[in-house]
Amino acid sequence: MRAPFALTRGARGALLFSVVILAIFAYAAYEMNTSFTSRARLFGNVIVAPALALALAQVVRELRRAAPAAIPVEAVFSTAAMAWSAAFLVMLWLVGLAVTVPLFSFVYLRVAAREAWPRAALYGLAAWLFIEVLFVRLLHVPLPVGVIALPAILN
Amino acid sequence: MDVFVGSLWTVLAWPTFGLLLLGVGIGFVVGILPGLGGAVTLALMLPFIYDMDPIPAFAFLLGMHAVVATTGDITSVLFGIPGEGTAVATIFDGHPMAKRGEAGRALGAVLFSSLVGAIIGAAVLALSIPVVRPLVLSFGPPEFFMLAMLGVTFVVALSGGNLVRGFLMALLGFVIAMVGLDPFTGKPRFAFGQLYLWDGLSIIPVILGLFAVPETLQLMSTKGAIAQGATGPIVRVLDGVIDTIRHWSVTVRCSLIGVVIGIIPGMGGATAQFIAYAHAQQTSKTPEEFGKGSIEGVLAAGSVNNSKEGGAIIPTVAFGVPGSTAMAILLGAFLILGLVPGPDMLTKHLDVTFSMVWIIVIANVFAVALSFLLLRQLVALTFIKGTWLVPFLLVLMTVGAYTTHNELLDVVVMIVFGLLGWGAIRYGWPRAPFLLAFVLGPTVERYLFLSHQLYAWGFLVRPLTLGLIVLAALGVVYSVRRERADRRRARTIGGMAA
Repeated sequence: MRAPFALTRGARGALLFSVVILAIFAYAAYEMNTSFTSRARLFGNVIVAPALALALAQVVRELRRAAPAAIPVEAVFSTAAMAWSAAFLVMLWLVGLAVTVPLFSFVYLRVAAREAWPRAALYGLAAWLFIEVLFVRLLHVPLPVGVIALPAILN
Repeated sequence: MDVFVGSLWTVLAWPTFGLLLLGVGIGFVVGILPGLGGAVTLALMLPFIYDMDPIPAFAFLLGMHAVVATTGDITSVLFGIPGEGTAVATIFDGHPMAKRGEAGRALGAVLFSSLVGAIIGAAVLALSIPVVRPLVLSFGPPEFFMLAMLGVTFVVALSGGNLVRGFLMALLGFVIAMVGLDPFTGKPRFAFGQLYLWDGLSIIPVILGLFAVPETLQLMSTKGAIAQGATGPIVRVLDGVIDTIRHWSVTVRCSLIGVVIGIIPGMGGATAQFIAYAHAQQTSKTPEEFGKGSIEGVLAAGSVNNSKEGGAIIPTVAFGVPGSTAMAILLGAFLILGLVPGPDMLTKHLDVTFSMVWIIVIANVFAVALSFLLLRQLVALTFIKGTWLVPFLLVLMTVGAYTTHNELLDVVVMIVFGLLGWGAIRYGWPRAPFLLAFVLGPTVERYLFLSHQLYAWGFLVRPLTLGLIVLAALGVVYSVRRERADRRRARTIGGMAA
């Protein structure tokens, strides 16, 4: 068996994923068997018992794997994509959806897609109109508001 | 019969018919657009059905889902790039036909055979109801419990990939489904003292995270449009329609193959198309033309694509056992609408079940008619850049997740399951078993509890339960043998390469 520190980065990731799954099952087994009556934990134990055995086998398998499996093309996300997603979520948390959507659409199309700024601005405006008309006026859906207090017109 | 005819009028009534057309329109665009799958779109549209009645909601969702594969075939023929994973086999002969200047004929054949397939699938669904009803009504909790377990086992065994990881994902789905108040004692389970978790995790943020988040990230990473160059002239579309009628036998046979495979949980459209294609080649008088532009190959791929939907709805509605990711999401729609799949769908809510038959037929008639009319405009859609879709998808995902409880925590749940979805794709863990188990979790727990109360562990040796256990075991054995054969083949290829 190879030691974990000898594993490549990809194999370490696969091992970590398996360990997280094992930890979830271990916690589930602990809570089921310390807090519940035998009737209430029937389903939980039927699920968790084989899950623990299989998850342990999977961790051992990952430890013994000689080389990491190839990463499928659909799982290769660029750092830029991650950063843009994070920026969207931070903006959503700070200023809410009504401000985030037009602003993010404009900046994303201008910077990431290199669109001409009038086109990006038009898209931002259309995006704002889309949520305003469809979600606010027609469907009366409450939209997430940010932690920063903004004038009512922007929320 | 009255219910069957009555449900047609219900589907044609306003606003149901309008929602059906809206669904068809969305399905149309989704089928043809790059990087946006049918299952993901179903997930994105789930939050919109909260306030709808069951039949309008299914008109919208099923209408959309029923036509995705139809327009997915268009890009397979014209560019050799499938709009959907279920439209891959269309490339084999459709694209060579397009390259030799017969794009119109190939499109005519694939679209018309899709319509025939959809009608056959819907007809089998309608005809199966009187047959399935006595069977479903004779089932008790042990049989329903084992059926659900059989469905999960088949999805694990047949969805490809590693068997252990598949089962672990299914078991994880069951554990995550247990979050919330224990149904028998009312005590919080895996809630970590959070009031938010007492209600359990809602299906919408979980599905959006698992499927829509990774797909949007991929779209952001690739940025590309599906079409890079100009297409040739699209003429002689009617010839393809005539070909479908001339080769009616292959169209009907492949449609029936689609229905049967659709019924089996886990087989799915990706498998069905290749089985139908292989069957068409084996029974053809000109098998050597397959792969070079055979019209029979196009008809096989087109007809199987849509017929499987009628088949896939049968176990979903009758037994509450969905056979694919899309059907699991549709089962989520049942739960949102307060419907319980099983005996009720064949008695009390028979109108809803029959309306599904009509929705599949009407949606496909409209989709194919519109495809013929708007073929050139549809082709233009494939030039849309992926980056233009990104802000739109982010809005739909965020609003979709947020509206579950109107809390930002719903968005957080979506992100957490987005990470799980990303990890699952990256390290080769299948997502479909997780989703299926998560959706079925509460039902399976209830049936296990009832079975145990009624028969203790003796429920496992009831004849039908035993039969289902044997079937599940056979599914596992088949999968293990296939996994070993794949590994042996990989080693042989590796040895040859070395």
